[in-house]
Parts: sequence; C-alpha cells; structure tokens
Amino acid sequence: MEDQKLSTRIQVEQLFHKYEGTQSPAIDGIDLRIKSGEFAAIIGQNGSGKTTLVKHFNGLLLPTRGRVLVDGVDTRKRSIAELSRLVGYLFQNPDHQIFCPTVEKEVAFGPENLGLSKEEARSRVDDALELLGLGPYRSAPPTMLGLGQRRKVTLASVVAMRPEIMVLDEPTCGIDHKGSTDLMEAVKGLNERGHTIIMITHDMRIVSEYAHRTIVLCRGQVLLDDTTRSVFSKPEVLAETFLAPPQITILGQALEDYGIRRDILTVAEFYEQVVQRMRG
Amino acid sequence: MFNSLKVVPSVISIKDLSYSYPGTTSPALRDLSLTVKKGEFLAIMGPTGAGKTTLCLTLNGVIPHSLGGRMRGDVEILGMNTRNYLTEQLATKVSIVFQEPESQLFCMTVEEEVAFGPENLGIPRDEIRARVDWALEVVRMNGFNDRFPIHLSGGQKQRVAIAAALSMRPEILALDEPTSGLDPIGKMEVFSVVKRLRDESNITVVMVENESERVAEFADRVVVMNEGAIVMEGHPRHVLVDEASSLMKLGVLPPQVSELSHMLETHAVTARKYSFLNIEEAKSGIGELLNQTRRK
Amino acid sequence: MATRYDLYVRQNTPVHRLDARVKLIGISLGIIVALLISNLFWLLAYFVVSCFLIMLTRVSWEKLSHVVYPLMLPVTIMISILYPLTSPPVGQPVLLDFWIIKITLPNVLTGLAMAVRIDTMTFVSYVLIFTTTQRDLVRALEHFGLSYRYGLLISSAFRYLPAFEDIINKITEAQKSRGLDLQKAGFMRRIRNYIPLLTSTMITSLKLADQLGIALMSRAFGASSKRTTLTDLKMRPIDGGILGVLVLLFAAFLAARFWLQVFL
Repeated sequence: MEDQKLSTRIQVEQLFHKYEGTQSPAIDGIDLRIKSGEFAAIIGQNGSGKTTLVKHFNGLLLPTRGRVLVDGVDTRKRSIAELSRLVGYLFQNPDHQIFCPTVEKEVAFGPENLGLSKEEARSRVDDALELLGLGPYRSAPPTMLGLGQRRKVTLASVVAMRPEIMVLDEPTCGIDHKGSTDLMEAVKGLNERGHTIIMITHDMRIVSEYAHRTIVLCRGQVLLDDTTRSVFSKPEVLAETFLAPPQITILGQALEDYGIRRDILTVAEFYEQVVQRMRG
Repeated sequence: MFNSLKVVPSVISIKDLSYSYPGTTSPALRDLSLTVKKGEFLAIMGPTGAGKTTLCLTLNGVIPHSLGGRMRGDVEILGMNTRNYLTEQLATKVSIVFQEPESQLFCMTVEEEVAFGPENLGIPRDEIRARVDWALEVVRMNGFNDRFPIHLSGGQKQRVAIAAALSMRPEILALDEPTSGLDPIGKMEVFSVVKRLRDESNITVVMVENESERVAEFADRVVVMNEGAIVMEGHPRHVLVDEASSLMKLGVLPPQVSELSHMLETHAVTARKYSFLNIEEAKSGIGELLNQTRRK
Repeated sequence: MATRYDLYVRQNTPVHRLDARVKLIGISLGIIVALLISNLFWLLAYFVVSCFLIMLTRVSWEKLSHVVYPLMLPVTIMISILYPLTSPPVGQPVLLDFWIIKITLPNVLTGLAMAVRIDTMTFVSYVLIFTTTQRDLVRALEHFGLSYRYGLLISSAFRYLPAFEDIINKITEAQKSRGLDLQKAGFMRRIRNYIPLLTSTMITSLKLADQLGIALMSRAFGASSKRTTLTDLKMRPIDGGILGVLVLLFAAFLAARFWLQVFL
C-alpha cells in the first residue's frame, strides 16, 4: 500500500494549450504530478485554466505543446474511451449526462460501455448505488430528482466504472449544505478506498475540509501548489488572483499577534487554539 | 411598543399562502405569511426544496397565472392582489433576477436586453434610452451596450440581468441565488451591485441567498424556510448567531465566526456572551478574550 | 467561440449603411432576375456583377472561403455534372454516348447555367447577410409585416444557436468520458450511440425553454399591444434614391426580358 501511495498517476510536463482561434494560451506552461491516493483541489478564477487542465487528464483535450502522462502513457496514444477506464470525469451539469429512464440504467451505462458481463455490471451498479445512498431511487427517473440527487446519480455512474482517478468539476455547485456534505462524504469514502481525487471548486470551505492538497491556477499557470494548509496561510498570494481563504482562516490571520496560527482550516481548530491560548 | 410616528408601508403582504405545483400532491408552500416593508432588504435562506424559488415566483404572478397549480391564500404587491393582475402588469412593480444567466439573457446585445422590458411596456424611446443608461450605470456595465451577452463573464452576465430587471423601474427587486455558479470575482461583482442598491436606493430587495457571510453583511431581516414554511425570522444576528445551531440542523451554514461564537457560548468558556456576526466583531471579541487571559 | 453563426462582417461600407429594407427588396429582386435569365452568357455576366457586389462588402477572403469552399464549390460541381448525366438528352451535338449515358452539349450548357445561377443567387443573398446585423434584418422583416412574436422567435434562434452548439459539445464530452465511443464500427451501433446525446440535448433544451418562458413573462412580454423600440431603421434620402434606381433597373430588365426577348 505504501508503494501505491507514492506512485505518480498523472504527470503533466511543460503543458501548453491554446484553443483554436484564440490569442492567448489557456494553459501557459504547467508542470504537475499527481500521486496515487491524493485528494487535490484546483482553485482559481474562471478562465484560469482549471477545466482546460483537467480535460487533458482523460484525453478530451490534447496538449498543443508538452505532454500529459496517465500511468506513464502519453494521452496522445490513447483514445478517450480507453482513458475513461482510468480517469472518471464528473461534469458540472448532470443534465448533460443523464438520459436513461431509471437511475439504475443510468448508472449501468458506463460499465456497459466497458464491455463487462451483465453480472459484473450489475454488481458494480449495486455497489455504486449503495455507496451513494441511492438504493431507494433505483427505479426512479433521474430527471425527476433534485439537483443534489442528480449529481449523486452522475457520480454513481462514474464510480460504477471503477476508475482509479476521478476528476470532479464543481461537484457542490448549486447544492445546499446538507447535499454537499452528503456528496463530499461519499467522495471522501472513495478517497479512503484508494481513489485519487482531483476536484475543481470555488467553495473554499469544501477545500479546507476535504482536500489535502490545493493547486491555485492563475492565467494558465500554477500560482501555488502545496498542502491546503500552506496555501491558505498565504492570503497575500491568493489575493493576486482575487481569492481568499475561508472566513475562519482569515480570522486566525487577523489574530496572529495573539498567537493564533495562520493556517487554521476549521472552526473546531480555531476553538481549540483559543482554549489552548487561554490555558496559557 | 410605540417606536415611531412614521408607519412604513408594506410593499409585500403574503397571508396564509399555500401552493402545490400541478400534478403534485405535496405542497411546495404551506400556510406562509410574510410582510416586507418598503426599502427593506430581506434575505431568504433555506435548504434545497424549501420553496424559496417558488416563493419568488408568486411575487410577480408567474404563480399562479403561468404555472397553474393550486394556490390558496393571498399575495399582495403594493396593494395589488396577484390573482387579479397579470404578470405583465405586476412586472412593473416586481422584477425578478434568476439564477441562470443563460435562460434570462436572450437578446443579441446588452443594450437590447436591458431595453426589452421597457419596450414591452410601450414606453417612449427617450425614456427607454434614459432608463437603459441609468441601469447600466448602476451595475457598472456602461460601455458594454453593443456586446453579445454570451461572450461576457459570469459576473458580467448577471449584472446585465440585474440591469434588465432594473430598467423596468420596479419598486421591488427579487434575486434568486444570483451568484450561484459564479466564480469568486463574479460573486464579488454581483454583491457590489447589490450593496450599491442597498446603500444608494430605496428599492425593496428580496434576495434568496445561502452565503450567510453576505447575508450578515446586507440583510435587514432574514427569513429561513424549510419544506415550504417559514421556520425562522428576524434580525441577522438573531437568525445567524443566536440560532446558529438550529440553522445548522436545517442544513444551512451560518458564518464561520458565528459558529465559533456559538461554540464559545455552548462550552461556557467564560461568563461572557459571545455574538460574532462578522470578522470585525470576532476579532475584537476574541482579542479581548485573549487579552484577559494574558492579564491573568 | 461559435462565431461561425455570426456571418455579419464588421465593416462600414456604403452597402452596410444602406437601409436594411432597401437591401432586402434589392436582394429579392436580384434573385428574381437570376431566375428569369436562361442564357449562360448573361448568367456569367450577372455572376461577375454579383462578385463585384460581394467585393463591395469588404468581406475578408477567409470568411468568404467558409461560404465558397464548403457550400458553393460542391454544389456547383454536383449540378454541372449531375444535370447532363441525369436529364433526358436534348439537342446536338452529342458529346458522349456510352451504355446508358448520353451527354449532349446543350445539356452541359444548361447544367452549367443552373450552377452559375445558384452561385449568383448565393452571392446576392450574402451581400445582404454580410452587411446587415441580425437585429436590422429582423426589424426589416417586421416593417414588412412580420409580427413581433415571430421576429423574436427568429432573433432567439440566432442567439441560441451558439448556445446549443456549446451544449451539444458538452454533452458529447460528458458521454465520451463515460466510454461512449462514437467511432465504433457497425452502422446500427453508431446510431444507437447517438441516442444518449439526443436525449440529453432534448432534456436540456426543454428545461431551458421552460425557464426562458418564465423570464420573458417576468419582463412583461406581451404587456402592451403598442410595443416601442429603442432603436429603429432610418430611411435616408439616399436609401430612397437607391431603392428607386433598383426598381427602375428591375423594370428595365423585365421589359428587356419579356418584350425584347433578351436574356434567353
């Protein structure tokens, strides 16, 4: 297991990407390595290159210059269908994926594309439905479910393909706190099972609560790439691209003179700090 | 109880409102009553499915006129009962800005989009021009007149949507999670427009928003909905700080600093009461607390 | 980003400044003229005139090539070849007599004439499209009696075309990421593979249409039967003059065609 943890799953080398018909590159020189079992968040303003970057991981985009290796193989040498076995991609808008009359069929779509036997496909579907708590909705039409549930359905359909790496594009966008927590706990469970998670999000709270590593993109380049704690302890750098850490982190930084740490991630941590300070 | 001689009129008056969408059995709104005063900034919070969007749609008559369904109770906008007036007529009093820019910006240029409403009302050309210029200025998008809305950023799109609502010169502006799906810059842009409206005009604003830090910043009053009913109501401090734990049980997050003050209270860290609505209050409160400890 | 649908050329030529209504009438007359000429020589001359008109719009060759190569060239070639091959052989001399294929010179010339006619009509239409914004075009139609509702329908179609292209791209990417292989062999399998795309597109479109309806109503669509507009087309004296000239030219053409029997 230790060996697994250290192996590099995705390697980005000198990546440049320019969309046809545009002036400036969307990705302007990125080098990156994502290891097995990591939970990384990618943050940045729209247009900073987040989606462009992650689309290189499953072959939806190919580099203009440079290369992207998934498990050591150049993505140019693989089709999107092949890469989809390794890298699952959860799109922001579940309605762009949902088309089946029942949740069950929807989740089965991916495994069927993999050419699995009916039994194997069914067992994967059952697993995925259970993991995400969608058992009771098995025969429901996905379009009738709320947004949070629909996200879970698309997540289940990605999970059913058992990709070892999963890319999530703003998974909590538009869902309320309860739904977000539900979803993120399921994602955390997947990460604990060994899946590598790469998540694009604008929600700094989710980042601080779930992501071990945070990559900050700005204008197609990496501005910061470190543990979440370290990244959020540098608000001046984040401010360069109009980002800010969660409120509680900012509070910690405002009270630095009182001995409070700069890199607090949750309210509970802050509370502990206060109690500690008070005990002297 | 006699606070002032001036009675501020109610612009929205909802009494015992219940509503079910056509073809559904469970009501989306249950016996809801709400009054909103002129110039007030009301925030509506609540988990998904609470009925927040449904409530917005009752303000301009889309419910019940366009969506059908079963409605009981009354909604009065500036004294006009929405049952007796068409959406087109109510649209001059209430303007709604929706979540999705894609489905509320349908013209080829920003200018056409903002002019669309007044044009529908048959307003004379000079007046339309004046309104368009004014609305674009309020949202700080003047100069963008000839741009194709789809090529704009998320924050810009929503600002155009707000301008398009403002050009109708409504007395009430309703915003349904206007920053949902926007990046941090976009959110900043939209909230700065909202702040401007709050500070510089006496337009009544009803904003559905779950970002409690923003609600703490803008709202005069907060209403929390759950499963079609109003379950909490009051000053932001009351709802976000005093009732922080109830709020969290409903699945709505209070500001982190309010969570903190709640934790301090619960664990009776000192004899003092702690109530943090924003960072400034938290900073001075915690600072004081730690100072006292130092002195000990 | 899907600006292919925006065929308008951002220039400021006299043709651009011409009132959209005059252009609309002019183009209609121009198309009728093309339909009434049968003589290849006159058609070629007219084609040259239409090329000249296109040059007046100052469209870049790059943009024009998007029209010429994918659209006009294949059509021209197809018609020039298919007509002589498929129509009943008429006249002399016979150029080719092989098996069931009999090609006569008059047929070849007629085929060429048809192709040139279509090319001319295409160019004439593009003079309008390159120099008129969609808004002005729809306004012109409304002035000619199109009701505002339909005008909005047409404008919305233009506005949402790039949005739909975007949606379809996203849906395709999403399904590809789930292993959908659109390149797979087998005709039936390939058709079946498009079902996820179609269904998702339909669902997304319906939701969009629903929300759009609510947004339209909320902005008082249909409130007043006397709808005003912020901007409108303005007829200048020179527009009237040019319209007059076009009508006169058309009248002269008709006279020459039917009375003097020219152009046949």
